[in-house]
Amino acid sequence: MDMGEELKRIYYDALRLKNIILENKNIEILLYLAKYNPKVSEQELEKKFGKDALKGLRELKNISLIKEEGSNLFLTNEGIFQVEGLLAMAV
Amino acid sequence: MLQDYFKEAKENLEKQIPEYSSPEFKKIGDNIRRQLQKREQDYFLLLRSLKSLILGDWHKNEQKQRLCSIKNLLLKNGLYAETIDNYYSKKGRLSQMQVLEACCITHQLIIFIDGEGAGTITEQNYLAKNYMFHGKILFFIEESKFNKFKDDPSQYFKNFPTIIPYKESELLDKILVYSRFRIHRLAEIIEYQSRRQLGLRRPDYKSWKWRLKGRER
Repeated sequence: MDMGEELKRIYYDALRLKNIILENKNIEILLYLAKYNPKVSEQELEKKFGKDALKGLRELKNISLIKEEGSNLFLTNEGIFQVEGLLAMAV
Repeated sequence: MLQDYFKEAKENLEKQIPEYSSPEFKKIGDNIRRQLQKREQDYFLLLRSLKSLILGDWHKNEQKQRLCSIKNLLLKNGLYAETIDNYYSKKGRLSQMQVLEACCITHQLIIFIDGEGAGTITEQNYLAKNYMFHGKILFFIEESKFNKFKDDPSQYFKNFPTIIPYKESELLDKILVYSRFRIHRLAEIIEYQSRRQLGLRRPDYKSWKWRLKGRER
């Protein structure tokens, strides 16, 4: 991959990250997991945030902000770092 | 015992984020959404998406501790970083070469700390022959070792275009300063390209590989 292509990929990845975070209730899902995981399951998120939460969850897993172990959901290290950034932005 | 930045950060988030049932939880969510929609936050998000890899000796406890301190310092300053040993625990039974192949490509900055004596030989050999990584390497070498060999162009460290000699007491500060410069520069290039609709968004953008192929024809 040459430099131009890598820059392009980084730009689109950052844009994708932003778009996914902004979708549906994804911000609230990230905050909820940051507050309550590791005791959070998919069913609990669906109950709290509706059916769309599962779609959001899939997207957040795809961009490596969330992982699942057993039936519990976790923020990854990247997820923790990004939520820290989001909170800093909001305060 | 190694201090885990992410564990501490998670505990702080738990304290900082209000209960789900409280009105403050909703307020914070709305606030983040509003802020994220502002164009000027794109740069902040872009900066936090750029990843640094800290590469160096890590088999002894104190070496691991050193890499971990560097990682923690960068993270505290808003730069995402991972250490090489983390990849070995993640990737299970992959060889050293396979681990390097998997992780060097996914980081935008490689902070390479020269090993003791002949340490970090595999990493040096791997990075030296993969020129595409050279633009993203900062090579840190102990000052006395650098001075000893600086007049000898056959030395291995000539393979790295950015060589930064350090004294142990200054290593952390130097890494933070140079890494921050490099990551901000990269973010600015990406931001500039996208704002000016240069290569990044041009629909007819052609990669160098494609352009060079075209010339051969």
